[in-house]
Amino acid sequence: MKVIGWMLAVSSLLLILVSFPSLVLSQDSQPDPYSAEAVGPVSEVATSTAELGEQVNIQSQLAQLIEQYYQDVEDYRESERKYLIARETYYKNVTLTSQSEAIKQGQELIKSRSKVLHSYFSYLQKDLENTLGIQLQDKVVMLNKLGTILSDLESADRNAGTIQSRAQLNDIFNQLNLQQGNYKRVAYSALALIKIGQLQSAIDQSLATREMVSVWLTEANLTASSRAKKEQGLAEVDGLIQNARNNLSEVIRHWQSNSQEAGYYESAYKTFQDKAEYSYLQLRQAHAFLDEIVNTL
Amino acid sequence: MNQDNFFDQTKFAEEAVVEKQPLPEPTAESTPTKKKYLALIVLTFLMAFLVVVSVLIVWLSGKSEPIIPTDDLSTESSSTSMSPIQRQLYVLQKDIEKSDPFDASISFPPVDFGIDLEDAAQRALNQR
Repeated sequence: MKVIGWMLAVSSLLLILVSFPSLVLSQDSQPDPYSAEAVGPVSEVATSTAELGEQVNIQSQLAQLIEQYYQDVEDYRESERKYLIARETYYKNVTLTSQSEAIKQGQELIKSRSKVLHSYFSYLQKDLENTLGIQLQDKVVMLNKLGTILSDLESADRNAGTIQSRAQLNDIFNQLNLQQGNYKRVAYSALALIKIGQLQSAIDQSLATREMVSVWLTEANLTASSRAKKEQGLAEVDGLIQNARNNLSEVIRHWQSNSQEAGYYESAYKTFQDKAEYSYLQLRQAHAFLDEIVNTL
Repeated sequence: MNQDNFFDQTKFAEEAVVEKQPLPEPTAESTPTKKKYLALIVLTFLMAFLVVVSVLIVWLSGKSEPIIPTDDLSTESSSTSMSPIQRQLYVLQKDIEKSDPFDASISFPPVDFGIDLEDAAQRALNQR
């Protein structure tokens, strides 16, 4: 009796000792939404929770699509490797068994190829949908093209399961191979259009910021020489933003005339990048000047 | 060979003898001792009850919904830590960074658009 009593006493004391710290820590282990870590760095605070939530949601969806895309690329590479081995065996042995295996691996290859392309175009679609600063008509036309490609790829994925003969498989391979030009043209055109939208948004933000700094300048208590310097800086900013706008107009004209052509591939996109970079650099300079006007001059 | 034969063990045998001590006679104090044990057991159960309650509190506090920052709080923290003009400059910086034409975006999939499956017999004939 005595022993049982002591054992119970000791065990309950131990339990209390173990549970007490966890009881205390449980208050600390909950993430404090008001802490600096939970809210994020001071400079990254959005103007409202709704905006913050929306941005986080879009970024999260894009990140998921990118993750899915890289996984699909890996799967495609594996399917391609298996198919090439099966095809080589069929060419070498010329047997019905090896032909069946080649057809089976071919079906898998078509599925994984459709999947990886689908992931890629889904990413472009989502990015384009959420990019501002694009003319509505251009955006709608491009989204329609992406939508058509996505539904074609879904059909290809479904049809892959119905293939029964070598000739049928070869026909489907040839049909898909013919789509290469269209796919690449739409992909690089969409990438360029997204960048155009982002540059236009950056120009709009630069103009809004310039106006804000101008208002701030009229109200600020400054010496005459300091004010003169800041006003001179603002004139420089005006010139830089105008340069960026003029260049972007030229870039858009170039894109509109070339994106419809069959040859808008990677090389055309590289030319676009070279041309658009000037606007980007002008805006960076404008931002640096605005920052200097507000913070140092 | 048994190694114990090398030692004289009588000395140890004498030391090993334990004197028997008489057990204490049962006294009249045994009833209060039982009461003490009972009190100890009651106390133990009370403590165990406290432990169970505290564990339940920990479990329930872990299940409760995390507090979501309100709109007012976010706006307040941003406005107190950053002036509107600084915030605007920050937003502009982010927008410009995003518009870099050479900013890394995922490349076109490394898909082979030249794949086919010819008839093996026909292929062998063509190769001759």
